[in-house]
Amino acid sequence: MENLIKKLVYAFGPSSKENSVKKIIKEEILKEVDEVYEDNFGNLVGHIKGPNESLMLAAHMDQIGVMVTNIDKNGFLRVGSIGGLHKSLLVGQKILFEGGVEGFVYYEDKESPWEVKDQKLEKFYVDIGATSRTSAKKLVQIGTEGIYKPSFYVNGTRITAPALDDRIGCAVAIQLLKTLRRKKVKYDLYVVFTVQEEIGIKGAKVSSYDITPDIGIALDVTDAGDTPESPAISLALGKGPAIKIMDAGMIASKRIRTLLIDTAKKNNIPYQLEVITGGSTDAAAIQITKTGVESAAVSISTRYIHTPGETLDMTDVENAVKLLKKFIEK
Amino acid sequence: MNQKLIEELTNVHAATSEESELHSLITKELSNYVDEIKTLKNGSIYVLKKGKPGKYNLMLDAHLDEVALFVTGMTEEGFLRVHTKSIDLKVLPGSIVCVHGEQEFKGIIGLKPYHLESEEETKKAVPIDKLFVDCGMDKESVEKLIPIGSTVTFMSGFSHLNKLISNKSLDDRVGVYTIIEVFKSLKRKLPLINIIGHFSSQEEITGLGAITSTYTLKPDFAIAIDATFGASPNESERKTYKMGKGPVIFIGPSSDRIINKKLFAVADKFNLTLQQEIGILSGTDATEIQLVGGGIPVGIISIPLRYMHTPTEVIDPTDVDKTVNLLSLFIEEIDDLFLEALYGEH
Amino acid sequence: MESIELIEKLSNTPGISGDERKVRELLKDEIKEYAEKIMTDPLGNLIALKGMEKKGPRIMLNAHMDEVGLIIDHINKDGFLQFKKIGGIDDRVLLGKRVLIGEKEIRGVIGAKAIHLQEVDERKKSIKSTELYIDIGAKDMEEAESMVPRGSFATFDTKFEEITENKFIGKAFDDRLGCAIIVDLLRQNYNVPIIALFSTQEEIGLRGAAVGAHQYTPDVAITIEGTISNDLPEVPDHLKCSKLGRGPVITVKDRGVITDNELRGKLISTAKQNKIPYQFKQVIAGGTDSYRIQTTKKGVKVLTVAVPVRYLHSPVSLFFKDDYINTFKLLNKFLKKF
Repeated sequence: MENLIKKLVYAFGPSSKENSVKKIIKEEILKEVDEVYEDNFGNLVGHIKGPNESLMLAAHMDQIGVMVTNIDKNGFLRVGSIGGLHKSLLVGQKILFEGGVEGFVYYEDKESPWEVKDQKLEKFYVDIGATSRTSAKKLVQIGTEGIYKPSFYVNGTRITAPALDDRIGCAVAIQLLKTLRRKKVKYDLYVVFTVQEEIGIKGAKVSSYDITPDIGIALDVTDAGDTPESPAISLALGKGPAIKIMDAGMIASKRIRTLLIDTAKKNNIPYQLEVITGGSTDAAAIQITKTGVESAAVSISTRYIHTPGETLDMTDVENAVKLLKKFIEK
Repeated sequence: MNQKLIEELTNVHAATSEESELHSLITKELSNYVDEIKTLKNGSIYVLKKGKPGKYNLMLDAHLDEVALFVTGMTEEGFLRVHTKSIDLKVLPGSIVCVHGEQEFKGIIGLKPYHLESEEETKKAVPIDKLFVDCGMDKESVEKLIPIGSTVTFMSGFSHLNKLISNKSLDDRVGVYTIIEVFKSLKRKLPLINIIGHFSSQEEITGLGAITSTYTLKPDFAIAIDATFGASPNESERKTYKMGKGPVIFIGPSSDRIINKKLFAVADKFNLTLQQEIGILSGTDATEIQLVGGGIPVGIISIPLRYMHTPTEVIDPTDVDKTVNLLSLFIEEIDDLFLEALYGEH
Repeated sequence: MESIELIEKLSNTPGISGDERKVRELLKDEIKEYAEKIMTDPLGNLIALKGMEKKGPRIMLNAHMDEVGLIIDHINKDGFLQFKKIGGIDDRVLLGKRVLIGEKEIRGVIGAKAIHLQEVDERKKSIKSTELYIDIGAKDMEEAESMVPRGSFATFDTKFEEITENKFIGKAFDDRLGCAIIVDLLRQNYNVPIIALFSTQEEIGLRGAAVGAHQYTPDVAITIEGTISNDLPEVPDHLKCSKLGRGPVITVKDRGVITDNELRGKLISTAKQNKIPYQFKQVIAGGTDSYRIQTTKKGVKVLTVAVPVRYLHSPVSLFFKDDYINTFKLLNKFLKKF
C-alpha cells in the first residue's frame, strides 16, 4: 500500500483543483467496481451494485493549501488560506504552486526579522525567486493555488508526509475495493472520493443528496494524543482504526458505530473509540441529508494534522481496510 | 400544572443522542389523544392528530435532549475525563452526576480540599482538563463498564421553591410537557388542520432532529416551544424575561410575521399576557426548521427559565399553563383567513 | 440614466434583514414587464423566471434585497430606545447618526455625549452599540412605545446623491446595486432560461438563499454584489481588497466558496475580448449567497461578481457609476455567450 499512498501524496490537489488526484484514483479503481462516474460537482464515484441498504463511503481528495491574492511590484506573493492552515506554522515552509513553481514563506517585521511576533496572514509573503511583477506573472496569477511541497518518509510502520489528510482515506478506500470480493458485498456500495471537504464538506453534501444512501461512513484522519505534553485525547498511533463516537460536527449513529465495534471484536481487529472536540468529517454533511442518513466514521489516528509532517502508523491503515472489508462482506 | 408529569419528564436522563429514553413515557401519555405515534431513525418521536379538512400541517416542536458531558478518556487512577459544549464549567465542582456506561453509575466531580488550595486558585474557574468524574472505580472496572463517549448528566432533584419548580432539564422538558398538554386539551376538538407533535433529538448539538424530521414530515408551518432566559439578580433586565408574566414570543427575522400577528391577536381576544423577545436568530430548533427544503414559516414561543443549562433550572408553572392555553386557543382559532395570509405576502 | 434612477429608489427604500417588503414591492414593479412568472417563497425571497422554455443551462442571477440596520429591543423609562445590530456593523460608525424607524419611518438620532463632558481617556474609547441610545424626542416610555413599538427596524437616514460627476453616495449599495443590475439584465434577452433570485436575510447568515434555489434550481448561479473596497490612505496594497474605478470585482475565493474555475475563466475571457476593465477580490473575506446556492441539491456552479463600494455596512457608502456600468456590461456579454 505504501507506493499507492506515496503516489497519492505527490498528486497536486488543493480544494477545487482535485483533477490530478482524481485521475490516479480512477485508474486504480476502474477494474474493481461495476461503474465509475463523476457527478455534477466533480466527486468521483465508484459503484458496486448490491442488495439491501445502500452504503456510501466517503474519502476526500482535496488537501489544504494557499491561494495567491496579490503579486507586488517586486514579484513577492501574498496568499490566503485554503482550508484550516495553521498560520503559526506557515513561516519557513516550502510551497509548491500549480505549474511547478516553488516558493518559500517568510514574513514582514522590521523590528523582529528572525522571530515571528505577529501571526496575521497579511504579514506573510511568498518568495518564488521572481525579480518583478512581470516575471512573477509568467509563473503564477491571482487565484493560483499552492500546497505544502510533497514529501514522503517511512520509518518501520510510521509514515510521515503532508496531505495524509485525506489521501490516506482515499488509499484505504482504494485498497478496500481491491480486496473486496464483489459477490460477497452485502450493500449497494458507493465509494465516493469527494471534493472540497477542507473548505466546507461541500462535495459530500451534494453527493449524499444525489445518492441518498441509507448508511454513510467517512474515511478520514483524526487526532492523536501520544506526543509530549499533548492535550488529553484518548487516541494513539498503532492502537487501531478509530471508530467515531463524536466530534465537533456530529454524534455518530449508535447503530452503525456499534456494528463497527462488534465487527472489530468478532474479527480480533484492534480499534479505538474517538471523541474529539475540534474538527469534523464528510460524515457530518451526510448525516443531515434529506430525511437523515445513519452516519459514522472510521479514522486513522494522525499526529500534526494540517502540517507538512502528518504522521501515522500503517498498521492502523491495514486494520482499517480489514475492518471495513469484514463490515461490508457477508 | 400536572406536577407529576413534569417531575417524571425532568427526572428521565436523556442526553443528546439518548433521546429514546423518553419515547415510552411520551407514547404512554399521548396514545389516547392522537391518531399516529412514530419514532424516527434520527432519535426523534412524533405524534399526529388529524384535522378536518386537514389540508395543512402545523408542527409543534420541542427538544428531548438535555445538556450533558461526554466521557473522553480516563486517568491512570480510573477517574473519567469529560468534555462539554454547552455547560458552564463553574457549576460542576461539588456536584453528583449520573454516568451512563454499560449501566447507570453515580459519580462525583470534586475539587482539591479547600485547606490545601491557595487563595489565588480559588479565584479561578476550574478548566475542563482539570475536572474529573470520580465513580469510585479502578481503571480496569472503568475500562469494562464505562466506554469512551458515554454520556454524563446532572443528577435530578425535583424541588418546589415556594410556588416555583426546580429540576435539571426543564430546558426543554417544559416544551415537551406543553405539547403533551396541548394534545390533551384538543381531545374533543377537531382542528381545521393536522397537528404534528415533534419531539426532536440533538437540538443541543447539531439540530439533527429538527433538520431531518422536518424534511420527512414536511409541515406547512411550525412553532417551536423552548426555554428563554428568566429574570434573576445576576442578569440584566434587557436580556431576560419576567417569571409569571406569561410566554415569550420571539420577534425578529427568524420568526414569521403572520404567525406572530395571529398569536398576538389570540392573546388579545382572550386577554392572555404575553412577553416579547426581540432578536435575530432564536437559539431553538426553529432556526433549522425555517431553512429546510423550500423554507418553512416558523414561530417561537419560549418559557422564562432561570439558570439555564445547570442542575437547578427554575420555572413558574403558571407560565407553562399559560403557554398550553395560548397554543390550544391558537390552534382552535386557525381559520382560512390566516392560512391564506400565511401563503400570501410576507 | 435609467439605472441611476432605479438605484436611487432602491437605495432610499428601507429593507433590513427580516423585513424586505418595501424593496420587494419596488422590484416586483420594475420587473413585471420583463419576467414571465414572479413569485415569493416562505422566506420572502422574490423569484422571477424568464425564458424557461429555452434550451441550455439554467442561469440564476442572484442579489440580496436586505441591508444591515438596527432592531429596537428595549425602551427605557425615559423614552430612549436601545437596539441590537442586524448584520455586521462596526460600532464606531453609529455615534451621532440619524435613523428612520418602523413602518411610519419615525426620525431618531443616535445621540452622542458632548465632548465637553468627557474625560480625556473616555474620548479615546469606542462605545459598544449595546450602550447607545436612539432619541426620538419622546417624553417617556409610554409615548415612545406608542410611536415605535419594540421590534421595529431602524435604517440609516441617508439620501442617495451624486457628490461629484458620476460618483454617488447613499446607503445599502450592498446589495441594491446587485438588485439593480439584475433588473437591467432582465430587460435584455438571452438564449437560455433565466431565474432571478432576489434573496432575503443575507446579512444574518445567507438565510434566504439557503432555500431560494430549492424550487427552481439552476445549473449556474451568478451572485451580483456590492463588495469591499478598502482603497483608503495608509492601507498596504495587498489589503485593499478592491479599488474604485477599476471595474467589476471577480471573486476567486471568499470565506464561503471557491468560484467555478472553468466558468470564471470564461468570464475573464469575456472581459478581455470586450475590453471591459475588471479586477479580482484580493482579500479572502466575507461570504455571499453563493455559499448556499453552490451546495443546493446536486450542486450548482457559482460565480460572484461585484461592484466595488467604499464604506460598506455603514450609514453612507460610495460607488462610481463606471464600475456599475462595466459590471452590467461584463455580465450582459457573458450571458450572451450561452
